[in-house]
Amino acid sequence: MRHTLHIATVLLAAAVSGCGNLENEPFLEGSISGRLTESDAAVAQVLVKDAPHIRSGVTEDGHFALEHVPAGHTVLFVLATETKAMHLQVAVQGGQSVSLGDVVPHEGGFLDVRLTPPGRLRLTEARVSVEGTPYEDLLVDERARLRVGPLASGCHTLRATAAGFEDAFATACINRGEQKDVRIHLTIPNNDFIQHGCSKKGCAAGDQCAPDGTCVQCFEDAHCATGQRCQDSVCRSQGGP
Amino acid sequence: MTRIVPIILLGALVACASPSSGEKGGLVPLKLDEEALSSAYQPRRLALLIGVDTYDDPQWRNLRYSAKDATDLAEALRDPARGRFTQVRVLNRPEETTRAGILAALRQLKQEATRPDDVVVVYLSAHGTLARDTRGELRRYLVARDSSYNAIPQTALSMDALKAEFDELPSRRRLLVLATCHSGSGKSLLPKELQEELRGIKSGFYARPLEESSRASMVFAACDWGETAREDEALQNDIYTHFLIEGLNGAADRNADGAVTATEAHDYARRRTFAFTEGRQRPSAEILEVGADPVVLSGGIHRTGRPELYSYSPRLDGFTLKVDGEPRTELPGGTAVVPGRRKVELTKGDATLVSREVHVAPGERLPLEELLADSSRRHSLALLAGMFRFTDERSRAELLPATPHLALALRLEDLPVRDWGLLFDVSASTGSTNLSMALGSLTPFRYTTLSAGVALPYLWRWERLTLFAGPRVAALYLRRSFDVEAYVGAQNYLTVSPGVVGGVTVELDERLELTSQAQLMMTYVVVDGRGQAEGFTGLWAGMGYRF
Repeated sequence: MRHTLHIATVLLAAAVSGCGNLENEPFLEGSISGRLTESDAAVAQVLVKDAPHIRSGVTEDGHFALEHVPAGHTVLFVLATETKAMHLQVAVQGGQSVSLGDVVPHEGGFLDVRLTPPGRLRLTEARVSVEGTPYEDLLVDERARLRVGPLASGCHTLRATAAGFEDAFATACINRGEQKDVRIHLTIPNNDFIQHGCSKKGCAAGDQCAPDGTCVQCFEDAHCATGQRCQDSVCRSQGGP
Repeated sequence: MTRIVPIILLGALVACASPSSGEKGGLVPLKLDEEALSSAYQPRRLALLIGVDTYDDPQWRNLRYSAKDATDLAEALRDPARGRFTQVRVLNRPEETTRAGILAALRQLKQEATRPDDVVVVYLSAHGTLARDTRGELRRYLVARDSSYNAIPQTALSMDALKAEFDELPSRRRLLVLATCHSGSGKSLLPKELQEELRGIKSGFYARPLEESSRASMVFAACDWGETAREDEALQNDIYTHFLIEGLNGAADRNADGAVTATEAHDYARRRTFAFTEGRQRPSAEILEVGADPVVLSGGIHRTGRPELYSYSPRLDGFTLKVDGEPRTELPGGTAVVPGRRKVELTKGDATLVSREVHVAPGERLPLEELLADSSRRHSLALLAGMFRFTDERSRAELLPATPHLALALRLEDLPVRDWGLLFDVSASTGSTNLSMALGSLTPFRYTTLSAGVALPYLWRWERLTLFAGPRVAALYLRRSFDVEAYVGAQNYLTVSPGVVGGVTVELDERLELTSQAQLMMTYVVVDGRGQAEGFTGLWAGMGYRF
């Protein structure tokens, strides 16, 4: 009796657990294709804003194709030429290919980014990225400035990194053809500054690293030009104010 | 010390239980005579027998045997070997059989028979007549000694009044025997105008039968409506009464249990009267509560009786009861059968109303109306339409959205046991729909679902309404066919699911019913190699055909 019951239980469990195959994985992704009516193959590329690693180059005749794009609503960043860029909203159908047809690029905008470290400290390996775009880890110049673009109209999140500084983020919104200045303030970890200050990071050009770790114009007369004396970390002419 | 405490407590207990004169709360010893106590609680057996044979108004001819009928029946009821009635009162002298005298005797009986288990028999042998009351309605009357032929409603005893008095008796075991008729012949005499009026009616009588019965009471009449109750010179009695008394001698003990019950006695008298009068007099009975048949008129139940099949329902009047192919009796009536499995048929002419195999045990009493109820259409085949859907939103998006279903349901009531049912259903659907793996994503596919279920619901049945609910097991087959860039092909899945079903049916007529049922099932589905428990529901409604 117990044996029969055991067999019945196993059979029932097997039946309830079901048999067959149901697969949904092929329908989790789709593909997108299209053609840019105006493009520069040297710079043009199309990528998924929320998954920038999914990207495609653009052929000479402007065609592009994206594979393995997550199904559902998504936004593409389209970089067409050195001045034109845009966002495209697309509904990706699971397991299917979406053809966008001809895409007419729009005029893009530019951001003039300036990084400002605290206490006039010197920046090394300072870079800027714009999330969801091909602009990643771009080096700033010696004045800590960078021009980024073209960017699609809308709002963008910028990320700034520099050795010894904490990553900094900023949001900037631009319109078609607009140029905008963006200042990103960098910070350094509190302890780092207290313990080392400029003795480790150095100071911007022309500044002196004072014994207390701050960058100043001078902290002794030798740092000043002839006829000047160092008073309150500033070079002053003798007899002057 | 530990030994002293129990002794003190015991002493206190004894002191508390001891009687103490003059104080409240003590126990008082009471001596009771066991025999007196037993007899005080035994149900009493009371009979009032009325025989009216002389009448003041010469228009009513005197009857020869009415008084004798009452006396003879009284003798049988008093007899310790037969009726064992403890109180038998006979009203047959002229000074006792006036209208007022009869009513007074009934009211006195009401004061004496105060307990529900008292057995009360009221017997009336007299002229019956019909007359229009003050509102012009035709009524039955019992003619008392002082009833006037020209003022029947005012001077005769209205059967309605008599019934009202009878119904007020507290006893649940009461029997009214009417050895009188109202047909205008024999022991009945109608005014000439009424006779003329009734002669013009082709189909006999006509108004509703007056042998009514209230709950737990029985009314036996010596003749059916429109027939004649007869006295017979050779029998020296009213014919029905003669055979009723004969039945009390033991001849009527149909099931051989040692007791002659009221229905047995009436059946015996009825059959014998019918045969004796060659079909001209057919005694009738109306009995509402005969299941327990509590009125034992003679003898006592000494052994388990043979099983009995019976019916006093007007619905079955005139049908022949056949047992194992042999005609046993005409209904209303009953018959005793050999215990075991019997084939029971109810026929009229060539038509068979019921043909059933029943198993009857010793002592069982089977009302034939139950077979009638059992033989009613208890199965239904229904065509239903409705929706199939998974209970959770994710499954509806990623497995199968809600889909329309077409179903066929077979409901077998009272299987495997009474008030339970077996419910079989198959349903299917096919069509095109979309998966939605993410917001904005639609993947088209074709689907086919097939479901087969069996359920064991309990049935709650009212007149036209039936509710049912119970466990259900169903097999579900799901097929999805895709034809998109990333996938071309079909996916199949089969699972068996436990769950519950509930529903309602409303009978529209003898054959058709509206029915609706809903089920909630649990199952286990494997998608992309990962198993997940799922619930799914079905809600169907449609039309059923009863058979």
